[in-house]
Amino acid sequence: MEIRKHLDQLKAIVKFNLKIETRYPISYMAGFLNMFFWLFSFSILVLMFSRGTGEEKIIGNIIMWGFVAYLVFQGLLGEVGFGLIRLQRRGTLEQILLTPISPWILPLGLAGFTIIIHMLFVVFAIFLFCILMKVPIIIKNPLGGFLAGVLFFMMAYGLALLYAGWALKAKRSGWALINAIQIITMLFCGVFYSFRTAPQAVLTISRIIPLSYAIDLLRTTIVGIEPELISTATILGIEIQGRLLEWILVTALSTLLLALGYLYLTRSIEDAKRKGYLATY
Amino acid sequence: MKVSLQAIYSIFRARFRIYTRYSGWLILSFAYPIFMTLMPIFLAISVGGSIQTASEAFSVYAGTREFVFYILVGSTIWSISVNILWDFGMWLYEEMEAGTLEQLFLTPASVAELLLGAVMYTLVVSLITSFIGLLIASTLFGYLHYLLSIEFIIAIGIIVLGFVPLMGMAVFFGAIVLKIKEPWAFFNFFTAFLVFIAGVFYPITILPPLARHIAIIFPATIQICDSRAVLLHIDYIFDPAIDILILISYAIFWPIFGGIMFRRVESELKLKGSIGAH
Repeated sequence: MEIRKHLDQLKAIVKFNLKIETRYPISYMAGFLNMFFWLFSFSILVLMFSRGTGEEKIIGNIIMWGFVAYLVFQGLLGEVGFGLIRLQRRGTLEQILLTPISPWILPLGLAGFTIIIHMLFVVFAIFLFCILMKVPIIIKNPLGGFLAGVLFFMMAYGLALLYAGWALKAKRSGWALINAIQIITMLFCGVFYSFRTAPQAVLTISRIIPLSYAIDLLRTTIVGIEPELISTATILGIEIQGRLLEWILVTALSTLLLALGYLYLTRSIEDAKRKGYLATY
Repeated sequence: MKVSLQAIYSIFRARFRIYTRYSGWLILSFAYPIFMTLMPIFLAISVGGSIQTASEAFSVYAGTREFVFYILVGSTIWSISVNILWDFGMWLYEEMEAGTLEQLFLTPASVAELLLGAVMYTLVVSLITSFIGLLIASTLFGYLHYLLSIEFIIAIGIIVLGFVPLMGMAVFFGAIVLKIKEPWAFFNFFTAFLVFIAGVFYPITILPPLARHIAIIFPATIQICDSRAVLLHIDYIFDPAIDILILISYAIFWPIFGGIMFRRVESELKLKGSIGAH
């Protein structure tokens, strides 16, 4: 009974946001055109630098799935993280959080809405990669890819919750942080490149960022190659394959970040309620 | 005259004060051209295999092996252009959203003074932050010698000349913002379109003929191509004299056209009573 009630509330939030979004078709057209021109510019570069060795297919897929992961991450950050700030700015966040719904329903509803909307962008991006950069889609392990995708979602969602919790307090300064997060993700999480060819200095930073491992696991599992960030290691005298090590690491980090994000956001909301800045911007 | 200058300065100071309150914005402004340069470089190394092979492949199309500096110049000018084009419109949007735009238009300051104050702010901030960004990036990548040459001063001259039409375009885009109220979609589309058409990452000679003709309509294309030509001793779009003449003609046309369009939209909205509505 309780689960059904929660599901209905989740559905209501997703439906409400979808309804609002469908009122602005031009905004979506612009979004698709925006992506088209970015990818078109990059495809020109790819064609300029292509060596014709055949390895481009794998690298093309690595970049494609990296870009798809980035689309989902920035969607979650924008709609869940920044979405709460938008409600705060409009002055409706307090009213929504005073309704008798659980505190986790609103961000999860926003995430559900983001996933639905961004699936369109993901499909369009894959289509553009195939057409513009002549990248054939390689899916060697669909089930593994799906599981890695779930872990990636958990981690990205956890990070979005952490951001939302902080931005509720920081207000306008949060604008700069969201841009900074996007820049750091694009530069160091292998969105437009393969970790294999990245300079050592970049890799050092990439290895500090949990999202890099989630992206690496997602794309190398789908394409069916060895992980690029982790190699086989011996821990306590036991040799552990790089692939297994990355699965363990990403599972642990995803669970931890999701829990941390949820706790931090709930705490921030409680603090905002107590101090009375939930509705002020 | 003194009163006008005071009004312009007040707008400039108000915007500058708000900007300096958020140190994160300042840091990002420096970082943006570096980020825009690194993104295609990582892609190039990934596809090309190494920076050497990427440079070789690039020289076939661009006539220079210095592809990192080539992209750095493009992305720096692109980010200044986008800032100038949109900052004025976004300022109007923010005032509209906060409900203070109508009050602003009702102050004794004329629209021209408001425009000049706002555009001067954008110009000063974009120019300073972008050149500091360029300086940091050039030092990091080992291209400082390009910035310490006579050619760099000539390149700055070309870039600054291009600001005049850009400011006119900014006023025109401001009119669009007043008219359509929600400019984000158009902004996102135009930003990406400019990356593609103005040859930020590659020479425009790679583009098909029709796209090349469209590219020349934008002052940013000439600024980017000619600055690179001066700095790296590669081809201009047509010829230095012709390119400068085109830029001068844009510098005459765009401010007049932008001003007329802004006046027209402003009067229309004042008549309808919807100038402050969002």
